[in-house]
Amino acid sequence: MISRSTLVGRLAHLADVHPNRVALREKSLGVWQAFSWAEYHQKVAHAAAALEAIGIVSGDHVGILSGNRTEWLWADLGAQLLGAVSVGIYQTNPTADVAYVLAHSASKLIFCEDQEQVDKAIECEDQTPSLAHIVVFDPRGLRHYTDPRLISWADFLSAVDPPPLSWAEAKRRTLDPDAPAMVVYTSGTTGQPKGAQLSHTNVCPAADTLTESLNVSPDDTLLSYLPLCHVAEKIFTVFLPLASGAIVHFGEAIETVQDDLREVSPTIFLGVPRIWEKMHASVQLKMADSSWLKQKLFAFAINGKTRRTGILGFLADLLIYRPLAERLGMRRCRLPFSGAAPISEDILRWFHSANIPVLEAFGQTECAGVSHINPPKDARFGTVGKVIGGMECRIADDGEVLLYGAPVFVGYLHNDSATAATIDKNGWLHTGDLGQIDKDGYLSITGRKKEIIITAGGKNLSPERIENAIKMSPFIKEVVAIGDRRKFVSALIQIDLDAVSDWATRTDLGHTDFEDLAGKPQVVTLIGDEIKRLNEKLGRVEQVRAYRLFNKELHQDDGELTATQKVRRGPVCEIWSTLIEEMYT
Amino acid sequence: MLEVTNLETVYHGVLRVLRGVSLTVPDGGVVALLGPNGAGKTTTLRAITGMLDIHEGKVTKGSITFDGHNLVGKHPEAIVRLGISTVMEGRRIFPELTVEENLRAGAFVAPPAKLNDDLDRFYTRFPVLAERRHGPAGYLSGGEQQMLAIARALMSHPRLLLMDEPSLGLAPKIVKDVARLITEISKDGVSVLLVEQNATMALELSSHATILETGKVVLEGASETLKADADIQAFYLGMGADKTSFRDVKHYRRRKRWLS
Repeated sequence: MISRSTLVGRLAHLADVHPNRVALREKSLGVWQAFSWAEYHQKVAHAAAALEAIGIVSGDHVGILSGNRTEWLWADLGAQLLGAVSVGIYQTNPTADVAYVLAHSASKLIFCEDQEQVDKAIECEDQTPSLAHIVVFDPRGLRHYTDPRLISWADFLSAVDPPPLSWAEAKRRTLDPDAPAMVVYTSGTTGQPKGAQLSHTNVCPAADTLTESLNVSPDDTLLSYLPLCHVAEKIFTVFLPLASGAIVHFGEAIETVQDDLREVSPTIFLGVPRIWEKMHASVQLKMADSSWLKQKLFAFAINGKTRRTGILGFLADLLIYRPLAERLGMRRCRLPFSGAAPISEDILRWFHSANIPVLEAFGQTECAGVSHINPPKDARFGTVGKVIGGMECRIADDGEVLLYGAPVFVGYLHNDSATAATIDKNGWLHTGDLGQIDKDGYLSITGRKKEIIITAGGKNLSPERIENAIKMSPFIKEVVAIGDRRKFVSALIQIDLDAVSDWATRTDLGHTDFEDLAGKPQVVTLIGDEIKRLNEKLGRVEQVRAYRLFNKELHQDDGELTATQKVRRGPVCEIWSTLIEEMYT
Repeated sequence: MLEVTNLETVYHGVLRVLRGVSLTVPDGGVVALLGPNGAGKTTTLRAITGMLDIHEGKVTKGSITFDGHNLVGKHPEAIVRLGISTVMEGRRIFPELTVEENLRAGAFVAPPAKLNDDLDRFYTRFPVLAERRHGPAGYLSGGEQQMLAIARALMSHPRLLLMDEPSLGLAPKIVKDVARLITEISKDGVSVLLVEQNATMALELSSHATILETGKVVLEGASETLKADADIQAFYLGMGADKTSFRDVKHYRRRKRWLS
């Protein structure tokens, strides 16, 4: 009997029970290639043997700087099989951020996807003295590189023969399920990112609970497309499939997600709010250009409130719901999730009325990714659902959401003070989020504890609440609410280029690039009207009294966004301080 | 002044090429329109000159005005009469006709009384054309043909000259001649909309530039500013990293940001 207490144990178990069943599919050069569970296990064991041969031992840190692909899994689980700790790094990270993670984790080896990532690893040589090996998946263009640390994935593997099953088994026996198996760096909206250490014990039970409560089976299919260094995608690409035997698909590239989604038509899909918003906007834009009859039918079927039922429901299903779901790649999707950031209630309602019942979930890296989920068929808008089995949730006296259970993480890497501030002596995780639990156990999040604005008048406000209210406008992509020690609340706003450009075209307003559009007085007025409308949802002191538009899109390379595209409030306020001061003088 | 506002076009009823293009050519100004293959540069020119329909295309949204006159739906001939003339990509002279016949063909909307004066003027400006005035235009060299195409376009006394890749397929020395010519034309008070792949030359000649990619304006601004833009340098001016050899060319492309 193979122990299922670790991820690699679960992999070995699946390879043992269903050796020939498909585990993964990867599209390369336009053709889907399948890997069985036995091959999956074999690849992981081979990667582990190669890591051992190159000198990686239990407890070492190994970085992975790559987009989602099968090699990501071979490297990740291969390192874990040795008892080493895998560290995912966003491939969009600029060199400085890559250097920070490599240096902070003291990684000995890094897996890089291609020349672009290798260049970053080489460039930060002087900051990463512990980095001894750079393994590159795709060696194109690297033949003349002279860095002695560089080795191609093929050469790395061919240094050792594929090990026998007994070797992998012996390795697994030495593993401690409670020791850190991976480090997930949090996005770092405030200050430098922190490395949350997760053990097998953290991630395995939660995956089992989800598998059971959501009836996940080997017939389920998933598409891996969000960054694998984020815990949310890890759940859907690694934890859940290894618990249930579901099939994971890797598309060709991030640019082809729409097509891959249509081809794979996954039964379980996690979208970040931005993905759902994009889908919603693309459908709305398409409909605005379609015939009168289509528009009427569409408006009848999808009213943004409830789904049609009965005989009308049958008609709507035939004419609208099915074709729409087909287009979006949601035809077979029985569990569409939204997570990783708050989603607007209007968007959720719209998808529910379009027969795509998106379920909002909640969690954080520090509790292995997910703690709350809206139950299918019993979702409540505006809440993040009920706490999952095996975890407890309560609200502290100051309103903070506290969590307890096996998924609560080991601690932050090399940062005991932050760990102590996050996990209290009784083992409760302090999430930093403020929330309320209703009588049926549904949690709603009201803001971030640390990001409270205290106005000059002494009122405590949650900037997140204000920002989410204003972000309901389709024309507004990002909002940064400001008001700490100020007389009133103001906001810096980034317009949504596509939506505002479309609006300008419809109103015959000539425009060219982003800067031009954001500088148009008509656009400034448009945003002003939107704010006026949305202010009504806010309390009097929370209302946005002044605003300015960014004349460029916020970007990770400028230090304004995190790798997960969240606004870094501090740096943004610093970079745009003149714009802010303008509003208060 | 030429004003293009939120222009959208389709070919064959389905193929959307321009997706909301706006640009302005002020009187007497030189504006460059840059972009990679398939960005919609030539389509923009076709829309301005009324030549979309012969390519099975049409304007679906937006407007084009020249000194207040609406150009959408107008006949190409009427547009030439309004004072817009084109130097087409690949020169497109009439090879079987003589040089002089080519020039006369370009003057079909000009007052006939001035015709001989105009011919003399161009023969002085382009001595090569004077030498070969009675020979077939097809026997001219590429550079000479380009001069002829430009002269032919100027015969109708345009106030706006549209030029589609005038440097295409010419030797560097001839490209310099063409560049000098464009400056001269502009000094004579003719505004120029210059479509080019040769970004170095286009940014040198123009005061203002618009960058198109997949039918959208991704960047526009004063040419001086654009020349200093990192993306323009990397993608259009070939000045990215210090590329001393093809070996050092990266296999990935820098992320485009379009900031300036």
